[in-house]
Amino acid sequence: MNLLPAPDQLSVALGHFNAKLDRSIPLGKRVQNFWAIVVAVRGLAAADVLRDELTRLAGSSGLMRDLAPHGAEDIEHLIRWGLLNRWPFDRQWSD
Amino acid sequence: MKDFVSGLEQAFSNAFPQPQPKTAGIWPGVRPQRTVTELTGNSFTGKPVPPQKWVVNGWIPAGQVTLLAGDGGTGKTLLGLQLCAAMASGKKWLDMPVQQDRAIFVSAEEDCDELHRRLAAIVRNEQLTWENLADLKIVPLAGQDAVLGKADLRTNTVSATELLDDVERITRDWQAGLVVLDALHNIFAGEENSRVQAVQFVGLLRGLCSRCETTVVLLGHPSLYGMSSGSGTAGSTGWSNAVRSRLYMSRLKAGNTDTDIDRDVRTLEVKKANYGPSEFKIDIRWSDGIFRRDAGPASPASDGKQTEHVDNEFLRMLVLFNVEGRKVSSSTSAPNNAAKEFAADPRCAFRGKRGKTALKAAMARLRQQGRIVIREYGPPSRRCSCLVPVQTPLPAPVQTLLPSRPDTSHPAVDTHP
Repeated sequence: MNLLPAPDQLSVALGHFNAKLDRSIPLGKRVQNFWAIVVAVRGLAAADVLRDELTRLAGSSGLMRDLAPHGAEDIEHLIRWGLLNRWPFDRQWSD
Repeated sequence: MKDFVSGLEQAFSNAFPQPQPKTAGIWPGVRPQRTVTELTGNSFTGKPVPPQKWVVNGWIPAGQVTLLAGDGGTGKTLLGLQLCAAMASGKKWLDMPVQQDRAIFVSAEEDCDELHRRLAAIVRNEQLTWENLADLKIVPLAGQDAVLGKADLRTNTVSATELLDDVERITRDWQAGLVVLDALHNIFAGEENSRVQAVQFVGLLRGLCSRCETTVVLLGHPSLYGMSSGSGTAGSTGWSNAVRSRLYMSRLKAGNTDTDIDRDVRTLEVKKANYGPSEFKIDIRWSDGIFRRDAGPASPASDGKQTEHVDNEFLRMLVLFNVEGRKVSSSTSAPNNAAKEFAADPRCAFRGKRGKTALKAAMARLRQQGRIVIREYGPPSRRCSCLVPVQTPLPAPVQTLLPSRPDTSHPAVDTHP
């Protein structure tokens, strides 16, 4: 009998997307990737849970620190617009 | 789990704005694909000047988008239906001649039964038969998804829906000269306050006009400010700027109050006209299920308004006659007396004996106010005089009313000295 709890979909999704926020990726691209992650996972949990988990992801991946001194506000803005599926950028990042 | 992860990847990549094909036209998602035409000024050498065509002369330019705005319940749908019926049957619309052609009425507000009832009233009052309306096609969309233009809030662009393609196909197959769309808030899914979206949506409808050689009349509602100020505007100024003609239908109010002077009377006026004078204004009266032109005073309380209406109508006719090079006189014994000439013209709102009396009084008032003057012309040996509005020369758009302006230096009509 498997007694391990089944991982919830949000955790799986955030774990999968962790690589999209790797610090080797340019910061502008990482910011847009983070917004796209919000859009992709927005149906997997309630809004307050999503906000907490995504803020945690931004912190653990170093994105919030890299956006200092207004990292927290920027992340909050990205999450809000991502949950509404609204594009907050002027243009798309191109390599 | 594999499907879940691939779904996540798909959602991630779909979140980014999709690149638009280069052939998308002026705006992404908007279909018009036209090649850029370049002309030099002398390209027109020897070519006849194309006359401005009208569905209703001075009111609705052919081949363009016209916005008919009015508060809810004023009767826009009925007026639009009457226009379609007049066009299909060749009858007049509010006593104004209409270019006879096929018409389509797209209704996203009224169901089939209601449209049937309203058309029955039109048929009964206009002495028509149902057979006369064979050239009228009705597309009832009430209760269905009637969106013709859909805005993408992320990119602030408006794209055409499949339903607009269907409407275009019907218009092309039916070879309709007029498409009435009822109403704007049903067929446009976007921000009415956004100028960019307003212009793009009207651009979609203009594309329909040019591709199908038709005219679009869009029924819409004014904003609260548009109603209180009497301007009839709604949302963004883009709506008014993008359309080529804007009409406003309103109730007659007593002063600045919300009290109707006469519940059955509406005022219909041209608020914007790119190709003609914008001072056209008429009163219409709801009677037995249809709107009719109202020449007489609606009630004693509306006399002030009516006086202004007659004055405006007199000035409008005077401008029209001046454009046509027809001189009119203020003298009551002259054969070309202004009131007499105007009252006999089918374009005038005040006709017949009663209209002539009203116009005569208007002429006296306007002369007293200095808004019209008598101007002398002709050789010194035989001086003639005629009435002209004070604001001359005429604005250029007025001159486009006629295909070509006659030489006014030699009046064709004999005038009274």
